[in-house]
Amino acid sequence: MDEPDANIALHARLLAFDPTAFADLCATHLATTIARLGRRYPHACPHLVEQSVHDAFLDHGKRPERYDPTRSPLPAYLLLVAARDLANALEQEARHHRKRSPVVELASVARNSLVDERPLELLVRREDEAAQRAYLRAVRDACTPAERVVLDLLLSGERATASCAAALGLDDHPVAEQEREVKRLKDRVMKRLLRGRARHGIAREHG
Amino acid sequence: MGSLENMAERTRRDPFFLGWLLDRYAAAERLDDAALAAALGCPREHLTRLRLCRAPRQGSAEFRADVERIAAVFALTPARLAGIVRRATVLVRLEAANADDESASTLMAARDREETPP
Repeated sequence: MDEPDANIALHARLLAFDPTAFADLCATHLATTIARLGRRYPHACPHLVEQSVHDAFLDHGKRPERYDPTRSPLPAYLLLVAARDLANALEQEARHHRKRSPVVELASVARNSLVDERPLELLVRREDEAAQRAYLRAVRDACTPAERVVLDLLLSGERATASCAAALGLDDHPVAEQEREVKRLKDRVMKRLLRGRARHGIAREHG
Repeated sequence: MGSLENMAERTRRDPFFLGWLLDRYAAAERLDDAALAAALGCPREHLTRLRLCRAPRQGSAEFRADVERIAAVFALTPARLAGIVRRATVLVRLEAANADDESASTLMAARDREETPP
């Protein structure tokens, strides 16, 4: 049996309540999914990466009917769900750090570079940063899971089509299809970003 | 510990999985992994994948079908596996009943304290 057929059979066993199917799913795909997700997010904590993949697998094991085999191969689907969970976890972590950041900023104001900045300018700059964060958060919340993966990569400075395709679990698709899908998602994300800028009253940085 | 073993560890806390029932049984019988594998009649290396199996469903026909399927895949004796799963299920129910009794006793003691005049 070749790999796609094996995956379809595995999915059918999960749907048919075969009690051993989840063990086979893990034995076949768990380690590779963790490795692939780790490569897509090299700076993420490995424990968080593994946790996200575990969550995705456990969720799939309990609710296999949510996966539609006609839309994407099983490994790509599991990677996408795990990537979404990881992106959410990273966002939560970032939010946690942001909540703590005013203390750090005040400390740095007292100590060094910002000590000469006028209070009004400082206030305006902070309001701009807060608006920027709210804007990105709103855009991210409005994105579909696949768009969120692309948005996170763009925000991290990663623009290569191949990286986006891999993060989306499309790396085993034909290159033309990868390019088409990544471009479509990038366009949608860019539209959301532009629309969000207008809504949050944020000016474009360079014209 | 490998990723499969880490996942098997998670199943020990999740009633959806056989790992959870095996853990209840092993705890009650004070068995380590080697002794648990011996009780099941399988090599210790099979425990990880066994834990990752879904717990047998409760209906009698489904229970038998699930136990037979797991036993066939892991070369276990169905009756032995069924006995361990049933024992674990009873232990879980007893634990739940004890917990209910304890919370009822705590509530009654609290009520008695409140009702006792100073």
